[in-house]
Amino acid sequence: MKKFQIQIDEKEVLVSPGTTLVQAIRDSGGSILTWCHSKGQKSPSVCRLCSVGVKGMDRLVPACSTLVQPGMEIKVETNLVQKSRQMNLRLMLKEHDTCDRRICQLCKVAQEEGVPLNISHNAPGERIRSFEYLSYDPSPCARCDRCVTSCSVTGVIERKPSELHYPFFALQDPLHTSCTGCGDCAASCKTGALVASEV
Amino acid sequence: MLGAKWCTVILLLIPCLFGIVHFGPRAALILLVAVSVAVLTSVLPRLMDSRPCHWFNPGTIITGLLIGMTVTDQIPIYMVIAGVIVAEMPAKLAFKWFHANPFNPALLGRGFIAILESIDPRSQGLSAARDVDLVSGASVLFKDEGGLFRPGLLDSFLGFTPGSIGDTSALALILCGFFLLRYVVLKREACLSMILSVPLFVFLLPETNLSLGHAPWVSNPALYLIGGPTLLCAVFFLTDPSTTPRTRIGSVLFGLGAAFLGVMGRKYTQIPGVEMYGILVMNFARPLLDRVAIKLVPLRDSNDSEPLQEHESSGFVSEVFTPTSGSCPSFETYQKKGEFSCIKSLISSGELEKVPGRLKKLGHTGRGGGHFPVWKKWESALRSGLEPYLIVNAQEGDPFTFKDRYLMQNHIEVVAESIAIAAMSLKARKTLVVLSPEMTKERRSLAVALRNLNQIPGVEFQFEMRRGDGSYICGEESALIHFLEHSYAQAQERPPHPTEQGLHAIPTVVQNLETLSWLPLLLSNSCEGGDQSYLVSISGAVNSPGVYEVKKGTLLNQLAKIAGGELNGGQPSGYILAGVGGVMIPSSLGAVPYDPDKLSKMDATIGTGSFRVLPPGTCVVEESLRDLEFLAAESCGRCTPCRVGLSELAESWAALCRGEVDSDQFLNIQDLKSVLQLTSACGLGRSAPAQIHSILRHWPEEIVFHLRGLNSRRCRQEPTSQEVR
Repeated sequence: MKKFQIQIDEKEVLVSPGTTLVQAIRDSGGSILTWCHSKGQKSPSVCRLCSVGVKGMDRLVPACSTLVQPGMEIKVETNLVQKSRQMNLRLMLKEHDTCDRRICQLCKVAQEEGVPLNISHNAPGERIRSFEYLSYDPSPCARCDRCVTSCSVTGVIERKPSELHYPFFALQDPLHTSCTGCGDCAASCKTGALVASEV
Repeated sequence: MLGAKWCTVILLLIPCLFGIVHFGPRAALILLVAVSVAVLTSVLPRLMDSRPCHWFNPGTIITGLLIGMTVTDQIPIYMVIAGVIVAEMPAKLAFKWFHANPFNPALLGRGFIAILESIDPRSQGLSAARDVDLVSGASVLFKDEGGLFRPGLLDSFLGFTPGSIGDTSALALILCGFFLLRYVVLKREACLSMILSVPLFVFLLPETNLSLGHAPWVSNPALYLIGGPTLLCAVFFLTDPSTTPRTRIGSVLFGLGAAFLGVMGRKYTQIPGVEMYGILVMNFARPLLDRVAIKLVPLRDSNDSEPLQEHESSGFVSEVFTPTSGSCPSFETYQKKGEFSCIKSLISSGELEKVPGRLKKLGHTGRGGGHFPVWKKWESALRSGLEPYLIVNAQEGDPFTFKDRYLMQNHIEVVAESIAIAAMSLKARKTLVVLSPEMTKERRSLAVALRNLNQIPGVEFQFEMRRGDGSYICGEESALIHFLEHSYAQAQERPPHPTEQGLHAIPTVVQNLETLSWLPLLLSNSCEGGDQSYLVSISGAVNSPGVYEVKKGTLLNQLAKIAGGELNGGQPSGYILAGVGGVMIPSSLGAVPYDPDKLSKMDATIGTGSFRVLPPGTCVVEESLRDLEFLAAESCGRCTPCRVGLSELAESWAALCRGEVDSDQFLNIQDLKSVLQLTSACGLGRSAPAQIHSILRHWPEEIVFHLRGLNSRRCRQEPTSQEVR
């Protein structure tokens, strides 16, 4: 497949077909904030923090799952993109009630982006749902689906529409779940909501 | 952050490096061959389909390394390749297909190598010892069977003994195991219980004559642990999450069992590599162990303190409006022509395949809200060559749209015929008709009509009636497909579009029921003026709300007259087009024709074809609040702007209604609105602020009246908005 040119912030960049915008932006030396996208996996495009402008479209597109197309003109460093990123971060923080500041990446990202934190205390919340090997605290959870995409077995963690949209352990009973306890979901969690329970 | 599996790969490199240093370049070659064959085998199926493949899967590398570590440096290379292929192909693929593989794939591969070793004369030739030795006097699982070499404690601990590549150094294994257990794996119980119980069993089980033929370390508990294969088995095979029990107690039993079988085998049998078989037997017993464990220690009931609940669809059943009146002259004249005339003539003339082309000429567009040309969808779905699915969406999640229900109540034969035409000209493998849960009568009558139609000679299509959840989000194609697959609706990222990858990854055409219902009329030319009429669900302050056929170009202020005129004859304060996520147009601009092209100049669409007449003196801010709150409740909760932003917008808008918002806070509402429009994943979030947009455009003074300190109206606290004026 032949490489083609796209424009990133008025800079001509040569990309190969099938790359995502995030990859193209990073390869060209730019930087872009991503949250729900983990490397090597199909992005759930849930957090919308990586939304960038594409010329000719009346909306922003998520850079983590949009593929490059010949002649695309991408706008990354614009006021609108920055503003909507900050707004979405603020919205994510709205559901982020408590957290352990030492682990939580969301607070760190928010501080870097200049979004005010409205969390009054950073004590970890009560862990309400515990699996044999994992425990889950919904209050720091960013609902980003990282744990859902990291799971290689289907149907163990799903985000079923509950009242507050937590990721949902489909089955609790270890006999009837296909959860192997590999810990990938806990490793993928960036806020400390889902952790491997201590022995 | 690296993930458990990559950490395991890095830790595995510790004993591997030691093996390479100790055994020389051939060990490196074997490890390299094992890993590269594993990687190649795992991507082979995708490579053959020329699909993009994910080359470096940590699980594959682990399998390759483990097999490389459990063989000696003298083993013929072909055995390594064969073993790795067995581990990757039958063992892992079976896991993928059946979602359950009782056996550790690396051990299965190693077992296959053991079989090869027993039949290959070369591997016996390598050994100077007796027949018992299958491999060169030493491999992890067959370690020093001949007893030729008498290892010292220190040598065994550091690893300067013959053996297999990754196994000789107890120090490297202990180091590796420590990090693995402390930081990487969650299931530590099986590994620890095996390591702790092995010396105990060695000490307890009495010696017999049978053990004479075995290696001398078998009788010494300490030497057994560090000189034998126990450590490697425990650290790497008993920490594999997918083949060890799900419960803690089960894992302890698993380790005990593996240790017992291993020591028993070493002492009383002459089976080489008996640990391997011990672990495989325990692998097989995994479900049993879990059951025993749960019997022993019942699970904590974590549901007591449980605020999480399953979603109950908000439904909106209470406001479902049953149309009392309406008129669709085109449908009535078509029905007078005789039953199923269009499909019969299409079949007799063999023109079913030309239907997509004719639709392209007619320019028929979808009526579900998006106004996407029908032929484009069909062409895109037919391009792949696969038989597509056809999904007929008659759910009408929008509370102000009821045209599909009207059609099913009054023109069920036309509806059935249109579904048949679409299904047959698309050559659909199956047609799914999705109706909302409260359409009970319609579901039955449509099923009967479709079945009757199927008995006409020449008509053949498969259909299935499905009960939807009636949610608004199911108007989005990807959400509806997700609902049919997973029984809860969640909008998915597009592309890939459903016409490329839809239901079960097969091209899928999702069409609204009204869109299809026009097909027989258009194709038999019995519709006056081609694609120039729309069914409009007129509701609100009119005398006889219902579904009416409206010609393209009818002025908006005439639509109310069609539906019996305005209630009480007053001048309406405005119109809402296109349903809940639609636009508001003041009655002063009512001289706009009902025409998608003309309306789009005013940022308006006809959407789902709903038309609401607002009574005189309506407060538009309050009217839009009701719709916003409905949309916020119907959000599927997947993307951030819609899940959090929409409910925040509804809250702020309610505060505006109460007169609690000042002009600075209103700027925040505008920011929120633009972020919703720009970054939401699907149409729900993008169109949700449309009414706010219209108010800002046509009624800016209404906003000002609601701001704090400026002639505050406090709509939500007053009895009705009409009394305020």
